[in-house]
Amino acid sequence: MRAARKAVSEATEVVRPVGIGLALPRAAPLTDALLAPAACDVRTSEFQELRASLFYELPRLVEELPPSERLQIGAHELVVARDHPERCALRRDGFVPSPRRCRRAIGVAAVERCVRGRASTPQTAVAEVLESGVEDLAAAARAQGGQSPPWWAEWYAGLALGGRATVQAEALTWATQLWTALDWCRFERPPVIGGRDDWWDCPGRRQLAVRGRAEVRAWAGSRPAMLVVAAGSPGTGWRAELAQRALVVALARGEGPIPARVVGLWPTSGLVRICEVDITALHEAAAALVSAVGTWVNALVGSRHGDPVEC
Amino acid sequence: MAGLAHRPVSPHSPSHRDHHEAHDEHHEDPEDGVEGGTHGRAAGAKPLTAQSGLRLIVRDATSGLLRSPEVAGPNRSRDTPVVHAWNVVIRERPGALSTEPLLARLRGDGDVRPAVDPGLAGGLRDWFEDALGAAGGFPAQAPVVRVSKEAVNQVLVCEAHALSRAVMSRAVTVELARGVLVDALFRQWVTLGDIGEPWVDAVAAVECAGDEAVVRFISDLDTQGRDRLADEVREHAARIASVWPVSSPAWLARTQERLEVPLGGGRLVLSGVVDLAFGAPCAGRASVCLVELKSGVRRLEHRGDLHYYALLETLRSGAPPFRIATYYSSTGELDAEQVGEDVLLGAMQRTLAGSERLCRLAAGAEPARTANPLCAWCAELPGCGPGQGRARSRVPKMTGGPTADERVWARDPCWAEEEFR
Repeated sequence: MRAARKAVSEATEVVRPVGIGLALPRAAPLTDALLAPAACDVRTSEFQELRASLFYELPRLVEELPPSERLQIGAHELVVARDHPERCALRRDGFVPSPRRCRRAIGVAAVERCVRGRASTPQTAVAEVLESGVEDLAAAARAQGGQSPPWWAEWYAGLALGGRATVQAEALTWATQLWTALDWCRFERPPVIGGRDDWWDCPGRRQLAVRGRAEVRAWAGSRPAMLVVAAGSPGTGWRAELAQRALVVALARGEGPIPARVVGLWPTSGLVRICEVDITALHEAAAALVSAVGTWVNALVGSRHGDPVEC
Repeated sequence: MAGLAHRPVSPHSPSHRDHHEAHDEHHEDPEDGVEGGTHGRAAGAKPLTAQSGLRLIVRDATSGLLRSPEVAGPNRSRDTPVVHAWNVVIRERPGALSTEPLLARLRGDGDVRPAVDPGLAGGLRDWFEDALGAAGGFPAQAPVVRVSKEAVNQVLVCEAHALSRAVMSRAVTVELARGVLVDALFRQWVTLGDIGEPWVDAVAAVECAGDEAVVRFISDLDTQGRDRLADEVREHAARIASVWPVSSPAWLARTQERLEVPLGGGRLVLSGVVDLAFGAPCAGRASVCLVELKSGVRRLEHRGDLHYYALLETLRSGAPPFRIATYYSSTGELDAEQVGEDVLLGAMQRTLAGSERLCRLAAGAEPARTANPLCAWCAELPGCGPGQGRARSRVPKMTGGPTADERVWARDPCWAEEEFR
């Protein structure tokens, strides 16, 4: 073994604010990093200024959109606009469920069961989530009221055993990765696992909505903190992608506290990135949002003038 | 903390459902045994006394699911359950393992799980990046170089062959289709602990996963070919179901887990997909086991593939797995080994050598041509002097690229058998 083995001093302490070298086991330092008190603050006046600039720029960009077109911008659309703008012009076929597309929804519900103590392991929880999804679907079909079935239930119920196994396996792997990523005993206040997405409608222009999604929402002192799980590895624009979640929360919740930080976890590569939310991060997110909206609007307007390319 | 579940139980002592072997090694009456591969359909309901060397898998009459039946009473030969339709009889191979020995090998019974050096992963990563940088650096203008176990294997054999494979679309063969189907069934078994009708389940799984190439290949097979493939898949499923324990939830089993390690600022990405990983994250001692399932024959590169996954897991999670294993579903054999520094160093050096070549090729360097046993079915054969010499081919050397027909000819698997016989 190479003699000059790097002493991983960062393995024993949290390094702010970009990424962290995690001691083993990793769950504890990652949880502590998520729940640590806010390192910086955002002055109300600064945020009001930023919001005003978005209120000015976004409606102008969306003006060119045809009245029938509605644009929803989330993290995925940000990445596509930045890294693959040519795909913005592709005709979008209807959403088709698949094991990979359903795994987050099922996995989040399963982890929530585990955290609440209703299931001891992700394997049990995922099976229960799928079973109850099918039961809710059957109850809805009988018009017996009760909980509305999850969006994937109808598709899942129509699968053969082999297909269902694939869905369950994919969701189980996803859920296990989130379940083992954090030390749930360290949360003083119960976290929200999944929860409703944050939505912000562009004022004056109902054709643009911005969405923010997080897998875990917790409290870092008096301010919220969010954990986001993503596939693959962080790209160069990871900071804007993470800050976008905080920006949507801030825009949508009006007078509520702005999140202290957004932690990004990429289980496939084992990488963690932390975005401490300050006004600089929010400006970065706002700039990325404006750029993405512009790219998407240009692509959609351009595709209506030419022949749209099918996906 | 009220309302919060406990941490997952360590998988060191997993519980599992026992699968009692249904055959009696000492029974000497072969006449009632059902033989003949996977189409053993016992007529009527009569007690089956399995031959020595045969393992009985029956389909439960009520649930229709495959089971290795538990012996009802003390006398195995007398108390073996009745055989129903759709039973599958698999012939035992000399090295095949039953459940207990398989579990023991996976758990590493008797071995002490090594303590994890917290500096190991970082040191390996630094070494890799420094060495690759010194060898020529990461290609600045080229797209991201993705390194997989196949890419490493191919480029270390011949750079020209690796480059030709990289630009060709994935060619589905019977062996590849069987591998995909058996992988799907293995995943189903680990996740659900049940398999219905193996062929139906496997095809449904592949369709659901969206592997259109394999689905199309299967539907294009003639009836005979499809039946043959289905029989093979059923046999593999029967062996898996008879030997592999149903995974305990405490094992935290993950199937088809994707591993990715970006290096050099993301300009090079080591990637792979592990068939089965189980074990809780490291808490000071190595705790994860990785298993690769192979439906084909044992090959030399399988060990290297496993070491590559061990390296990826180490770099990704900060801790090496304590155990890596390859399970051969055609024979029931399991190759398992502990992961030590030597394994990781060897994997790192091999991956580094492959990555250097891949980076050079990505930067536009002319590929080196190395004669090797794979020349016979390389797509570049018509235009490759060393390859033609190695394969003793009489195909005239082309000045241009090979035609589609020549590519098909060059990939004729019968040449591969000739080479390795």
